[in-house]
Amino acid sequence: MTFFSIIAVFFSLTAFAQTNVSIDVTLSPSGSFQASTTNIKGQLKQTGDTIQGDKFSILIKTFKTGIELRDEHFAKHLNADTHPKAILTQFRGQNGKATATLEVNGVSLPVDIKYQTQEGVVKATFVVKPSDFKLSKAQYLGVGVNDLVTVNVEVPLK
Amino acid sequence: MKITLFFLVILFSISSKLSLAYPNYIGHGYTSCLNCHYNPFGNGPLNDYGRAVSATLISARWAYPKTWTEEDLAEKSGTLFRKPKQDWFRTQFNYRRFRLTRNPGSAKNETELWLTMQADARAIIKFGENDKFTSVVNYGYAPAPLSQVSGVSNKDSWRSREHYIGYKINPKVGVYAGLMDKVYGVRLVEHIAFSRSLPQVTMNDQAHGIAVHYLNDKWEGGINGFLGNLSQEENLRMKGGSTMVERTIGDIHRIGASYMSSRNKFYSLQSYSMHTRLNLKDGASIIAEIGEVQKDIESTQSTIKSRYGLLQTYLRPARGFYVLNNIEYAKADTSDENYIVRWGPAIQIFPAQRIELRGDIYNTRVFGPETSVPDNWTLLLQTHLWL
Repeated sequence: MTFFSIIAVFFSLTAFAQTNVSIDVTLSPSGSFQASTTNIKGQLKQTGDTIQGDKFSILIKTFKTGIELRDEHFAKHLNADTHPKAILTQFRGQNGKATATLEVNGVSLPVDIKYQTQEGVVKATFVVKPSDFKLSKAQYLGVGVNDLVTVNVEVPLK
Repeated sequence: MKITLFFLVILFSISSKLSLAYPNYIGHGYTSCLNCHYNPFGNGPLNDYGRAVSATLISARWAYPKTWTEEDLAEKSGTLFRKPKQDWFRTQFNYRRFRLTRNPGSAKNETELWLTMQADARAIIKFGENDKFTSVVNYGYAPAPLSQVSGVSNKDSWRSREHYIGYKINPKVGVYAGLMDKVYGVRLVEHIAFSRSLPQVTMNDQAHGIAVHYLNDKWEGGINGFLGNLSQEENLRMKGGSTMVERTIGDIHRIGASYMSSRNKFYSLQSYSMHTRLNLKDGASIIAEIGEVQKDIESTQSTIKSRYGLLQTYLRPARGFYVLNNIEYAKADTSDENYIVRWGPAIQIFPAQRIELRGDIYNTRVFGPETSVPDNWTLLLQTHLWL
C-alpha cells in the first residue's frame, strides 16, 4: 500500500511540472555549479506547431546555487539591486528552434534557443555570454567563472 | 597462517587515521583539488578560497550570531579570524587527536588508545596572479607507528611532511618541486585505506621529486618523478615515477587511472589503479577505486601481487553534517585464497569553521577457506581543529 502511495505521489508531482530555470556555470580553474529557481512569471502557448510567449520575468535574488555566500555573490554580480529581474520576451518558436530577447543587467540582446516539447512541457536551452550583458568578470579569491553559461528552461504549455 | 592473518587484521584495524584530503567534495561541484588547495593534487594547506568554502559550505552556521552574514564567515576563515591584510604570506595550524577503541563493549577485550595524530604548522609564501608562484612548508608531529617493525625505532618524531615550490606556467600547466605526496590514485580522507597503504602512498610516504600538473576543461592529470624521501637512509628511498589522469564525465563526474613504478635496494613496486568520483549533488558523492600492486623482493627473488578495492558513499543531510559508508577489500597475496573486507559507517560533523568531529565504526573480517580469525571491531572518534 505504501509503495503504491509513493508511486501515486510521484506521478502526481510529475503531472504538474513546475516552471523552472537553471543556469549551468563552469568554474575556473575547475568545477561547476548550477543556479536554479522556480520563481518565474510567464507562460508559453502553443498554436499549431508554433510556440509563443510574451514575457517571462525572474527575480534574480531567488536563484539558489548550493552555497548561500555564492547566492549573494551571484545576485551581486548580476547587479540585482539595480536590475532585480532577468526578463525574456518575444519567445517565438517552431520546429525546435526559437528566438527571444533576453534582458539582464539592463541590457537587452537577442538569443537563439533550441527546444523540445515532451508531455506538454517545453524544455529550452540557450547559451549566453555574460560579458555581452556588460557584466564584469566574476572572480572570488582566485576562482573565476567562464564567460559562457548555459541556460535551461522548463515551462509547461498552457 | 592464522597468526599471520590475525596480525594482518590487527594491523589494518588499529592503524591510526589521518584526514588528508576530501575528494568527496566533488559532490559540491568541485571536480579538482586545485580550487581549494595549493597542491593541485590535493592534501596540504587550503588556499584562501578553500578556507572560505570550508567556512560557508562545509561547516554549519548555527553557532554564529544571525547578524553575521556569510561574507562575515568567509572573512573570518583567515588564520587570525579576519581577512589577511597582505596577499603573499599565509600560515595554518592543524591539530588532530583520536580515541581508538578496539572491540568496544566487550568486557574482556575492549582496549582504548588516545593518539595525537597531527600537530602541524604550515607556512605559504605566494606571489603573482592566482598564486602563480607558491612555496609551501608543512612541518609537524608524526606519532610512533602502532605496528612494531623489526629494526625500526618506534618513537614519536617531528618531520617535514612537505616542502615544495610551485610555478604555474599558464592556467593549464604547473610545475612543482620538493617533498610532496606521490601522484597516484584518489587522495582519500583515510590514509590507512588499502588503496593508500598497499601502493605505499600514505601519510609518511612523501618523496622528493618533481610533479607536473595539467588541467583543461575535460582532462586533469600529472606526472611525478621522485627520488624518495631524502631524509631517509639511501637504501630505503623509493625512487621512481608515477602518473594519474582524470577525465570529466557529464560535466560533474570524474573517472581516472593511475600508474606508479618505484624501487629501493630491497624491493620494487608496480601499482596501477582505476577510480571514479561521482557527484550525486547537494554534497553527496560516491568514490570508488580498484587496483593492483606487484612487489618484487630482491632477497628472495619472489613476487607478491596484491589487489584492493574501495567504495565510499557520502550523504549530506544538512550543512555541516555528512554521513558516510566505507567498504574496502584487500587481497594481500592474489595467489592466496584469503582476503579482507573492512566496512563501516561514519558521521562527520563540522559544527563551526575550524572544527571537525568524526566517528567511525569499522568491522574487519578475513574471508578464506581455512580461516577462523574473529571479526575485529573498532570505534574511532576524532577531533580535528585548525587555525
